[in-house]
Amino acid sequence: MTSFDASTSERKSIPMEELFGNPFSKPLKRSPQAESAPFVYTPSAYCLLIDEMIGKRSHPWRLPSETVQLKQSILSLPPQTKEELFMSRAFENCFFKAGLACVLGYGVGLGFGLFTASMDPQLSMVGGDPTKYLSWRDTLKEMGSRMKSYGKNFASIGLMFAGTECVLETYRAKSDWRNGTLSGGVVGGVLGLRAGVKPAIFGAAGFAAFSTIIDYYMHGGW
Amino acid sequence: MTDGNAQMQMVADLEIEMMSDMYRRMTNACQQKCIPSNYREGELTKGESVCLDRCVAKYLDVHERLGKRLTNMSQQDEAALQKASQS
Repeated sequence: MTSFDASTSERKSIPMEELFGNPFSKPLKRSPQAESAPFVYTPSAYCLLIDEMIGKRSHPWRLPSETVQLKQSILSLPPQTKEELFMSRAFENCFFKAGLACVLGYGVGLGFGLFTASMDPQLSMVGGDPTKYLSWRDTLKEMGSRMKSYGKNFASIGLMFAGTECVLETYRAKSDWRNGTLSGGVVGGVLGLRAGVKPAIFGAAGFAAFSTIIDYYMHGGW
Repeated sequence: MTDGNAQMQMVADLEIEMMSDMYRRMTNACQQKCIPSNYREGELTKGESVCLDRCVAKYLDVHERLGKRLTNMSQQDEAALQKASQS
């Protein structure tokens, strides 16, 4: 390999007996053919075999699933079809989950706003007379505005929470109780940051506790 | 000719056996690393499936590189052995 190897240098190769053997013995006669014939490496069957299977000759672009079909036993699942792969890719990624939480949050906010507007209308307290009954048009206006504002609130909270939870779970590559708590902390902190640092800390702690309790009840335990 | 056929058959059998052994070890290792044993539901969650993807990719990459390194080393050893036995 390197020039230190005496047998590959340009001089005549020194036989091992001359170097390490008995210096007083007569030198062996060597046939000139053995020295002049160049050395050619012929790999044995073992090396050929492992080269074929795991060595340089194995093709990295050829996936193991394409080369060898493993025996399908009774309990093994068949490979996923194209439709299954599409469904798993389209409906299980973070964007879809966050978008779904946003849309559902908007729906819940609409319902909640409708309910609270009918129970506790505030428009009558701002401009008009609280003792007079509200007209049809005022009620509708109140309900509409309440529904929209509650819907936007809930949608943004749902989007942020679901997004951070999905991103955290992807990053940590684990699914335990800490994902819900940490994402609740993040969302509470971001929401409270508009008012200052201390409300942000309180908001983070409160939202994290709320999220942990909700997860506990939804999953029936940890 | 028949010897070549028999040899190819042997190579194919060995490859199948090697692949299934690698598959078994890979599933054991990745299940141990990625799927905690308190099962709350039957579906794989997102975190677990992400972990399994990464585990399988790393395992196959390591298997590939070590295989190439092993064949290089054994070929060098065999070449040195043949050279020493010839001269």
